[in-house]
Order: sequence, then structure tokens, then C-alpha cells
Amino acid sequence: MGNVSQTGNNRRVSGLLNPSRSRRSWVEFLIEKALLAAGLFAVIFVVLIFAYIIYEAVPFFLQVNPLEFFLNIVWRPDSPTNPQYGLLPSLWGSFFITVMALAIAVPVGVVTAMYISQVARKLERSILKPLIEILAGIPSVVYGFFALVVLASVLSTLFGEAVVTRLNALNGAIILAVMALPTIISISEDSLTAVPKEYKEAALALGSSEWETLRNITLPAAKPGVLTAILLGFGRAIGETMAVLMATGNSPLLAFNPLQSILAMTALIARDFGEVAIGSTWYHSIFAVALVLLIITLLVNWVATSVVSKKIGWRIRR
Amino acid sequence: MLVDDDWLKEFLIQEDFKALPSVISVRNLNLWFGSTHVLKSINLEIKRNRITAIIGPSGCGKTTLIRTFNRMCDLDNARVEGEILFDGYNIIGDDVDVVELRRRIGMVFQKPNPFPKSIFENVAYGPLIHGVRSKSKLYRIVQESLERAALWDEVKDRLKDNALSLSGGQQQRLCIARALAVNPEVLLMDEPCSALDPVSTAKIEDLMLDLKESLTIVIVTHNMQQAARVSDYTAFLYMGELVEFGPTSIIFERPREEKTKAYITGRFG
Amino acid sequence: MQVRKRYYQELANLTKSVIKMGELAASLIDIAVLSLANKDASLADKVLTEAARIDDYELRIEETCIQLIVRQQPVADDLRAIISYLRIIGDFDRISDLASNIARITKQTLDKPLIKPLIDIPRMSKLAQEMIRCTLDALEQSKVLECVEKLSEKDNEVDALWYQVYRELVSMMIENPRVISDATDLMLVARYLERMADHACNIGSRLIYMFTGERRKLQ
Repeated sequence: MGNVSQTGNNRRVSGLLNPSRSRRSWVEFLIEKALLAAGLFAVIFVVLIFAYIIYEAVPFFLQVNPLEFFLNIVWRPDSPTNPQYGLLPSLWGSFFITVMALAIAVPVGVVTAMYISQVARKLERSILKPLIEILAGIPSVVYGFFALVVLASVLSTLFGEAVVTRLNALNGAIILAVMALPTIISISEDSLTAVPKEYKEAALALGSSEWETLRNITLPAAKPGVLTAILLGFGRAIGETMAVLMATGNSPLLAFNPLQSILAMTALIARDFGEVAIGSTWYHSIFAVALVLLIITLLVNWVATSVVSKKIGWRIRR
Repeated sequence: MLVDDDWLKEFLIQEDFKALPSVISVRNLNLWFGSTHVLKSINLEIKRNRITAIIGPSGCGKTTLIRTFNRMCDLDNARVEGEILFDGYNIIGDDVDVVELRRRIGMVFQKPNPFPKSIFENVAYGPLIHGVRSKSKLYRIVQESLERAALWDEVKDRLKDNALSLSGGQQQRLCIARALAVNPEVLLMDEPCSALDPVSTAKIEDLMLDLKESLTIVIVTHNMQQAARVSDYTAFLYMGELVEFGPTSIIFERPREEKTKAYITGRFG
Repeated sequence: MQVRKRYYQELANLTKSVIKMGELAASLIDIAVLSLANKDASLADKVLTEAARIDDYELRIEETCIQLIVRQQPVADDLRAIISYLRIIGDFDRISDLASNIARITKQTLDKPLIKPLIDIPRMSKLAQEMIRCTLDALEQSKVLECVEKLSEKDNEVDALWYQVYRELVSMMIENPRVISDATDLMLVARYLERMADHACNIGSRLIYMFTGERRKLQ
């Protein structure tokens, strides 16, 4: 008996030591490395872009005092006599339209998300959700064109005399709001839907009405997700180029009137790059602006993801 | 008399079921999800200050049944026909004030589900939405409720802590305290111990026995031993039908129906 | 925090009622033998009515034990206690039945004087009662081992007394066949008392099992 079982064992062991082993592990090795390469590819690109932008921006800061860059309120790099490289107008322009866009998009987006996730019936949801996703898929140039042709006219008839320039900050902000909506809606909606059903049931079982439940329980529980949505919407808006370029009029002024033309950083980069001589101070100044923009977007993304990870941590603890 | 006989009175006096006041009377209740007939002609009396257990295999409709008692079935898109009498009113119907109904019939769920807020806020939530504004009164309600749920001593120094930092058993007792804070007349418990360890389970069972002095409890459980331990009356539900209903001692000692016997002995099918 | 308070309360109550039943059974022995010695019909009747109460106790305690098993799923010492109680009450019931038998003999022989003064029989009765009380004390104080010693000792005494009574009555019957009927009655009474002592020993074995989990037969 003992012998028989032992030979059985031996056979099995020799099966484990099959010669095909090395080939299989070779394939495993290849696949593993291929996956690593694919993963690294994206990382390498990010690093390369960052390095390149820094590399091109450094000469600018050698020629122009960084203090002047950050504090000067005039952007006139094309002046042959006294070129001025002030970041403030475009930085302000970007923030101005982004904040206005969010002021419109956040309430609309969050309320829509609340409606879709909590109130809407199945049929409504199955119509609304794809529609909003289509909104995300429209090319930005189409939005820009719409703002340039239709929205601008509507605004000038609406506000009449108050309109300083036909293409203005408000025009850009509205179109940016529409573009940020899908992001805000779909991420808030996900996080609202992800609020455990148990919370809602507990609140309802205590005798809260639907609205009390949504306001006191569901929304606070989904808050990290909604914050993430807002931050990603912010990132979407501040990084948008084409629609802003087409909608805002692009005059590099420090304007506080929403009905006046402004110049956003993205629009500045896109506009000025067409006419600049490679290697000039102006050329390098554009990279400096791009660096600032890149840092802002990275910051926003980092904050957004850290909020998301906090939310996930919270979920796991449950 | 050689020995005094008073103790004899203490045990095994079979109470008169018919003479006890009913809190909830279910009359010919039918419920459908879409075209699936989930509850079939249920008739059931829930007696005041007693614990009624509803047992049965998974999917027999026991959770669905107690969710009709506080109209949580509304959330499940169920179609309900029949009568559930509570305080003289049929609570199946569109004209019922569901909010008030749910205040008077509280519920504790299968998984402990405290809100991700502080312990205090969890218990104070109910009174707050029902209009209690005074700080001192809120504090008193919170303390009373936690005491009734036998949790006060464990949490009195950490009311500001997040409720999710409590253990599973404590969380479930917190949920009971939260339900008690609005002073309900009936407490529905939907498998309240299925996610808990044996010691926490025993604590909650003790708690239920304490609570039945002041309110009526309906518990759904898939743990027959638990039903045997805590309940006064047991209803056995099978495939949406009420197979047998009676005093727990009788259901578990000498059930009348073959199906009940097969289920409680574990010889099902 | 102590959990399952009610269950332990119920168990404690059960123990108390078993003890009460035992006390009742022990007192019945005394009354039965007294009724025989004094030819007192009212005492005999009292034994019979109290024996009915013993039956009542037995039924209720049994029902309580069943309920505890069904509803509380006892294990370990709780389970051993409940199973032991179920059997102990049977012994008590037998003891009360035997006492009733003595009372019935009293009632049948009310008009006849005793053929001899009772000496050994009351001693047996006293011993049997002591044995029962001893088991009850053991149960109450959870001290079984001291009791076991006493039980075997006293059982031996009872056995010796029974043998003495037996020989005495047999010789009386041989001397005077007219007393055969009465002597047989007395012999039965002695026999009953000896059986009671045996039941007390049984209870002792049950208690050993209950407290230690060991199975030991007391002789």
C-alpha cells in the first residue's frame, strides 16, 4: 500500500517538473514586461512633457524677472520697444470664467444628479443618462462655434447696452458650464447612487420625508463624490482651450466685468503660438504660462483624487 | 400546606391569545412584485408587549411582510391588497401619513446602518426631524434612548465620536437606540443579528426581552434558535403563505403542520 | 455585562422547584409512616392529596425542562442539569408513589391494631428522609461529594434494617400464621422504604453526573 501511494506521488511530482515549465514562464515573463511597458508609456509621456515644458520655460525666467511675470498686469510680448510679460490678465481670465462656469454648472449639475439618482424613474433615467453622455462627446470646437455664433448674439440682445464686447467672459463661462456639466453630473450621480441604500432606508424608517432624507443623509454621505465632481469640472473648465478661444474675445485685459472680453491662459497659448518666432523670449514666455497651467491642473487633479481616495477609505471602513 | 405553591403560578401559564390586545392585525394581505405573487392571503395578529417572530426559508416573503407594516414596501414598488389594521386604521392606502406611521412603527435593519455621523447625531436625528429643537431636551432623549438600548454606559464618554467607530454589535444597538428615540409603539426588526457575533447577538436578544415591557416587537429571523429564545409567538411563512402561527413554545415543541416540523427540524424538502 | 439573564434566572428557578418537590416528597415519607404508626386516616388522606401535587410538580418541571431545551438550547453543565432534573423528578415521583402505597396500607388496616410496635420502620423512614434531604442540600449548595459518602453509608444501614425487619416478620409469620396478612403489609412498607433509599441513591448518581459529568453508580 505504502509503495503504491509513493509511486503515485512520485509521478505527480515529476509531472510538476515538466520541461514545458521554462517555456511557460518565459511567456509569463514577456506578458508581464509588456504590461509594465504599456503602463510606463503613459508615465513616461507625462514626465517628458513636464520636463520639456520646464526646459523651454527656464530660458524665459533667465531673461525676465519671475516677479514681473507674476505681478505685471500687462501682457504685451509683441511690442517691439517695450515687451511686457504679465501673467495676471490671463491667470485672472482663466479663473474668472472658470469660477463663473462652476457657479452655473455646480447647482445645475448637482440638482440634475440628485434628480437622476433619487427621483427619476427607470424610463427617465434611461433617457437622461445617455443624453448627458452625448453632451460629453461633442467636440469642443462645436461648442465654441455655438458660443461664437448663437450664444453671443443671445447675450447681446439680453443685456443690450451693458455688453462691452460681443465675445465676453460670460459667454465663455456659459459654454464652459455646459461643457463641465456632463462631468459634474455623471460623477455626482455615481456617488449619490453609491450611497448605501441602508442609509436611506434608515432615515425613511425614522419617519423622514424623501426630501429630508436626501438633504440630511444622502447628500452629506455623497459629499466627497460631489466635491470630486466639482473639482474635476473645474479641471475640465480651466483646461478647455478651443471653446474659450472662440467665445471670449481674447483681449489680454484685467477685466472684472463679465460682459467684457478676457484672455484665458489656454487661449493665450493657442493664439500666440501661431505667430511667435521660435527661440524668442515670447516663445519661452508661452512655455512659462503653460507651466503655470500645468501646475494648476495637476494640483486640482491631485486634490480631486485625494478626496476620492478618502471617500473610498470611508466606504471600506463600512 | 407543606410547601408554598406560589412559584407554580410563575411558569407555564399559557396566556389567552384571544384576550390579548392586538397592535397590528393583518387581514387577508396579498402582495405582488410585478406579476410575482409574493404574499398570499396572510392573516396575522401582532399582540401588544409581546415579541412575535416570523421565520421561514429564504425568499419566503418574511422581510417583505414586515416591510408592509411601516410601508417600507413603497420603496420596492410592490402592489399590496388587503388590510393591515394599526390603531384602528387600515395603513394600506394612499391617504395614510407614511411619515407619522413610520414614527410610530420603527424599524431596525439586517446590517447595522448608523449614519456616518457622530453617535449623538445618530440618535438625535429622529427627534430633530420631528421638530425637537431644545438642546437639553435632545440630550435627554439621546441619553434615555441609549440607556434603553443598553449602550449608554459604553458610549457616554464618546458621544461625539463617529458612529462607524463602534463595533458591529454596538452599531446595531445604536440603530435600536436611534429607532427608540422617536418613541415608537412597535419595533420591526429585520434579521437584526445576522451580521453579528454570538455575544453581540445575545446582548441584543436580552435587550429585546427588556424592551418588550414597553413596546411591541416583530422580528424576522432566519435563525430558528433565536426565534425560540426570544419570541412569545412565532409565525412560520413558506412560499408566501402563513403555514402556522402560535405560541413559540408550541410551535417548537409540537407543531401541527408537517411543513413547520420539517423546517424547524432542518429536514426541509 | 451578563448576558442571557432570563435564561439563568429560569434555570435557577427550575433548581429551586426541583428542591421544593424533593422536600415535599421527603415530608410525604414522614407523614405516611406516621399515619401507619398512629393508624391516622386523615394523615393518610393528606399523603394521597399531596402525592397528587407531586404529580403536578413533575408535570410542570418536565414541561419547563422541555421548554428550556427547546427554547434556550442549553449546553454543558446547563444541559447536564436539565437532563438530570428530568430524571431526578422521576425518582421523586416514585418516592411519592411509594409513600402513597404506605398510606393506602394504613387506610386498609385502620381497624386492626399493629401486630408489633414500629421500631425499625420509623428508623428506615428517618434514614430515607435524611438521604433525600442530603441530596437536596447537595443540589442547593453544589456540594455533591460529601453527600455521596453519606448516601452510601445510610443506604447500607437501610439495607441492614430491611433485612432485620424481613427476618423478624418472617419468624413472626412462622410462629403465628394468623398475622401473615398484617406482617406482609409491614414487610411491604419496609420494602417500600428500602426502595426509597435506593431512589435517593439514584438521585445521588444523577447529581454526580450533573456536577462532574462523571457517571458513577451508587450502591
